[in-house]
Amino acid sequence: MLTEQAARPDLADWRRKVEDLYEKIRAWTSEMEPRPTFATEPISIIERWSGEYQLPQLLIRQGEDEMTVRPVARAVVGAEGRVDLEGLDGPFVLVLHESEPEPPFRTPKGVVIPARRTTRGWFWAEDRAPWGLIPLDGPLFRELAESCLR
Amino acid sequence: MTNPLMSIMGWYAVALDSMRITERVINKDMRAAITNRHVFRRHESKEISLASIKGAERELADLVVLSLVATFERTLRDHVMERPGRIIVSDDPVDAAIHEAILNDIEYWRIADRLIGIFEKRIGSDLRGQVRQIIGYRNWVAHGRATAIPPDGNVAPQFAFEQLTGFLERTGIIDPA
Repeated sequence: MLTEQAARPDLADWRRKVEDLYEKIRAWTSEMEPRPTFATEPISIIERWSGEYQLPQLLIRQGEDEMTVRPVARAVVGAEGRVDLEGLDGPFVLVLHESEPEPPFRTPKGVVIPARRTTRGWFWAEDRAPWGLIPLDGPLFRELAESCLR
Repeated sequence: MTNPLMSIMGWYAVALDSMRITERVINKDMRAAITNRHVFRRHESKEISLASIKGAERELADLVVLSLVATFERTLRDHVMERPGRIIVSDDPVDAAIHEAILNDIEYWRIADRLIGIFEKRIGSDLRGQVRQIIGYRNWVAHGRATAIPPDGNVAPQFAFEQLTGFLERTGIIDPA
């Protein structure tokens, strides 16, 4: 979602967010065996706020297997960026949430709905019930990457 | 009421996993699993088969968003149409006719403005805006993707499910999970 705070996304800022994610991924995957190698290649993305622009996608190779970390869009309904992991498995959808988490909500019947997230940053949007948002960290990324690579 | 969107996400998970398993079968050259009855046997290369599955995954995701919005709309409309009956409690035939006319009218309310709009005192503008954007995305898919770019941004099934469920929970129409 493009919230009021981020109504005019900035391409340089989006590029920085994606590259920061790649840096984390390089660090997280350094523990994998055999150790993966990395490359980047430019891809074109078209969005209404920006027109066409290029960003690098990250290629992760482990032996003969390969996966990609592919930026999809900055303008995403419900988040502030989307990157997909694709390989043998996937696509696994990673989303960036930069806004403050919302407080719990009390329904008309008095039931309290807990906040869906309590932090900011990158999350994995689960692809099965309960379809939650899981904060992205090293162990989770390695689990997703192993699924994409084997 | 339980969440009617959950069953859609259930079949989506099954379909997505089935595609992923097929990708593995093709990628790992498990030829015995593919017979002459399967479309992949007619593809000239493994790469063509894998690309066709990736394309089908993207189409499936859009159809899931379409289905989620359709079910969300029906649920919301049915809930709203119950309300006049609670307000007009009368045996008078004129009152009954007014009731009937209101129900007929509600069936034609546009979801993105009038149906969503009546919840403005209960649902914040951010969530209402996001639901409108998801409806806009549904319309873009349903009308044949007339423009190269969706109107308000990318919508994955998970995002649509999260926001539409949040709306139904906050209005009290469904029970929170």
